[in-house]
Amino acid sequence: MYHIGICDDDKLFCAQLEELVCSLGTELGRKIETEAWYTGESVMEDLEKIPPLDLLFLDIELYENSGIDVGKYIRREDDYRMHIVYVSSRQEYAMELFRLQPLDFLIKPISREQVKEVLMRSLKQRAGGKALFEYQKGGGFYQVPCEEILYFMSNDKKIIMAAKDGMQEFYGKLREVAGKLPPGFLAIHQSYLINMDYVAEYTYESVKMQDGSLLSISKPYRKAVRSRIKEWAKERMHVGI
Amino acid sequence: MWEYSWYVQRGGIILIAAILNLLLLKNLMKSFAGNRIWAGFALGSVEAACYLLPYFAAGRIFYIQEMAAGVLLFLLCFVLIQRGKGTENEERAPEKGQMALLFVIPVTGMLALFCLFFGELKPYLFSVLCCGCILAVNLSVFYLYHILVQNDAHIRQRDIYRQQTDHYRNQLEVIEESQKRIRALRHDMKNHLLHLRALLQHGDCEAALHYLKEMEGEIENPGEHVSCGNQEIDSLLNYKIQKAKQVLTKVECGVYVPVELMPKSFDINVILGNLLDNGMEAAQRSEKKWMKVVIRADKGLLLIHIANSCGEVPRRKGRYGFFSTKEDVGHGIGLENVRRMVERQNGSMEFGGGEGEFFVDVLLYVSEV
Repeated sequence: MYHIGICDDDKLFCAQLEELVCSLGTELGRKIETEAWYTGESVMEDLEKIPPLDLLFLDIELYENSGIDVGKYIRREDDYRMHIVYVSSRQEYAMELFRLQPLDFLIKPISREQVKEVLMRSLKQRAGGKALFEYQKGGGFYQVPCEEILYFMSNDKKIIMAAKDGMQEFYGKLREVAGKLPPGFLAIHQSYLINMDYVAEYTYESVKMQDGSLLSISKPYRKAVRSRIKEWAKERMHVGI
Repeated sequence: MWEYSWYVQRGGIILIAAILNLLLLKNLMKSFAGNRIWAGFALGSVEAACYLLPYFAAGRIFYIQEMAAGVLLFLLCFVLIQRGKGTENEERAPEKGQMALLFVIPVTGMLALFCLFFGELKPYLFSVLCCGCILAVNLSVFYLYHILVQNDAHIRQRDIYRQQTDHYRNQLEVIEESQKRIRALRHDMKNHLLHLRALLQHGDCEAALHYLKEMEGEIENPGEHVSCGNQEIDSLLNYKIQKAKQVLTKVECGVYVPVELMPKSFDINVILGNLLDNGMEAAQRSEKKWMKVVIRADKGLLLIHIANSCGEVPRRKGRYGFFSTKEDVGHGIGLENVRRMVERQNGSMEFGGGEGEFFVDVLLYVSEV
């Protein structure tokens, strides 16, 4: 079951998008449940009560609380799990949106292809996250969903794992760790392995993660990293309109 | 005493000849703008003719008289050429320092020659002098070349600024047009509302919807294709897409760039401008005539995707693997520029296509641009 929320003050648009998302769900063979809100306040209130949404289509120009306020509320504890797709009838948007790490930004009127691409991307990211990463520490075995791992860092014989709920340390080799991970992870350094879903900003020489840590991309890895980023970006570039 | 004045006379004549040479060369360079080798060749022939004529005419060697006659003839040629050319020298005279440097070359050369032929210097002093002269000549040549390169860069930059000014002018017109339309609509708003109310009171929803659609058309500015709020990108794209729409049947454009993102305008102008021009040109010569532009900023990256229809399947050319559909020799310069700029900013550029379609993807880091 995939939970999708839609928040827009235009009721007609909400209904159309709900219909579109549901038909895409049948097309993609996924069960989808949708819910719609017409104001920013109502969605903020309800988010506490309902099971977490996987994806939220959020209008920027709402009456009282704007889409940006809602986004800030959702991300208030650095929680980037919910995918937000901003929808607007204006082409302009501010840098502020960037910090909220939306999955995408769509301009009305939006096409079926655009919604399909965004939905598929969201599903794909979640699917990678469902996999579990297993590690041994002390005498016991532990499991953590890959979706919750930000990055790995090797230090001597130890590996430091930065996850949603803090750092973990265990003995191992980074190469072995890399072999056990889904394709969303990327080696940017001999001793760094990052989850691409948690990148806040790329530069040629470094990567800034959503938790604020700045990891450098070592020289021999730079070109390979760039081409991986490009692969990641390609799909989005080609379905842009 | 007699010998001394002979040296002075001869030296003077050589100096006059050299100055004439220089002036003539400068003029000839301008008239033979396309081909400098020709200019040099022409000058050499004129000079040789002028010197040889009195030599053969006199039949024997007069040292001074023969040379003086040669220089006089040369002067005549110079005056003739100057008169034939007219006076259209609007170009700014080179600065004094540069002029002085330019003179260093022949003057030092002459000094060395003069010492070689007439000076009774000790061999080691002479060699020191010669080395000094050659050094001076070389240095000034290098410096002049440096100035030349700088000039070239300035000229290129000026061209780009001129283009940019064009884009801004166009954007200004677009904005003015938008404002005009909005003002007009505001002015007519009351009438529009009255009309709508009347239609709705009669329950004629169909007509009301139709009327609303018409109003929409009135606000929309046909010249404004992109309004992402980023002036830099808006103005460039509005300019180029307007041009593209005139010659192509279908132009799609999606721009998602935050307002505050300010790439170095110089580079983004060259990159986007050249790529759009190329795409437009190729699409124009194809059957389907369409073009698609997507620009997106995300996670510190600026992504550009331009796709277009193209007639023949582009073939690879050159060591960079550039595609080219043109026969002319000059092609590829624009793309080469783009490639250089993208690489300078650590970005990457990729071509692809097939079946009457061609695309280029560019990835740039916002932190670098």
